[in-house]
Amino acid sequence: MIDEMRFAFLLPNAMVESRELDNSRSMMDEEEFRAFYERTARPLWSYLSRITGDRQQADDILQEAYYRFYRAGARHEDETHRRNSLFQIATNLVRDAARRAKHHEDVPLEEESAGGTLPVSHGPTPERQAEVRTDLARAMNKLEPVQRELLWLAYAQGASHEEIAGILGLRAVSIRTLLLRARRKMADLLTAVPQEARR
Amino acid sequence: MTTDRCPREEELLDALGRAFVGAELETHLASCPSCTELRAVAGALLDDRAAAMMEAPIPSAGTMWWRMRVRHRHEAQATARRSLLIGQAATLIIAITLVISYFGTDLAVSVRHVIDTVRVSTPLLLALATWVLLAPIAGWVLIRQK
Repeated sequence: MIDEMRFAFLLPNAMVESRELDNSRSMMDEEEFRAFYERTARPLWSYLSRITGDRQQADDILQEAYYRFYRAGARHEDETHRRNSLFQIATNLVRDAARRAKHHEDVPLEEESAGGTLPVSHGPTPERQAEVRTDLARAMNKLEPVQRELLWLAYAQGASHEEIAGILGLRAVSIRTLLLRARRKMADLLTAVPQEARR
Repeated sequence: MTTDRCPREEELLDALGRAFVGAELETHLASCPSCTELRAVAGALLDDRAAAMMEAPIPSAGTMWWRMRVRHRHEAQATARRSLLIGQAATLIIAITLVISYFGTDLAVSVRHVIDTVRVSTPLLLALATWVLLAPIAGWVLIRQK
């Protein structure tokens, strides 16, 4: 240990290995990471693609989120806490990206759907399913970012109010009201969007 | 437009999650605007999630692990290089301070004497001074670019 400390400053690689050794004590090992990734990657990508409305951005943020989560090397009480921590990092990355891109004109989801980037539907009546999902995408695009996050986490992800508060950095007591407001707006939009589309 | 939450919303969410809404709950839905609203929103989101989960173009766990390790190593190397550079700069500053504090006056006289003795032209002296100033900056830029 003393030798390592004495000569580490002479060799960058030795320093790197020394740092990695220190970090590895709190970081996940490969097996643990693989298992965690298999359980969380698809839900996280779904969340990101729907709150950003951009599949490419979802891909990029997914990778960045896992890297930051891994690098943080934080200890978690349980699987739920660990997963919420990952979603929190991802949400913050989405918000950072939105802040950076604020001066750019947002690409409306209608245009994206025309370009074929929206998911392909499957089910008993594919045309109707596709219509419903396009309506949903249009409605999501008209919501505030935090409302999209709230709705997805609560209804698609099934997260509790406490979990949502932790992920979004909001107070748990305000989630109920915010969620109800977002739900009403979404319901109104879902009713209004097909009528607008028909015009 | 609903005004408040219905106490059966949790039950409805469970049913939507299982993709089965029983007859009794359907009857309730017909008369409850809050639950109707919830079904419209949560149902659409759950269907969309199911589709998104199927189509998610995620890299394999092995690929992701490898990318993270490579990136982590590069970042650790950059941090180590930065620390080294800062250490070297601090050492140099301390050494110069010590030399000046011990031999300051003598050194200045000696340097002036050497300059007088050598009798170099002013442009050459300026070029030398410029080089002495810019060389460390150029070195620092080169190290940063690596």
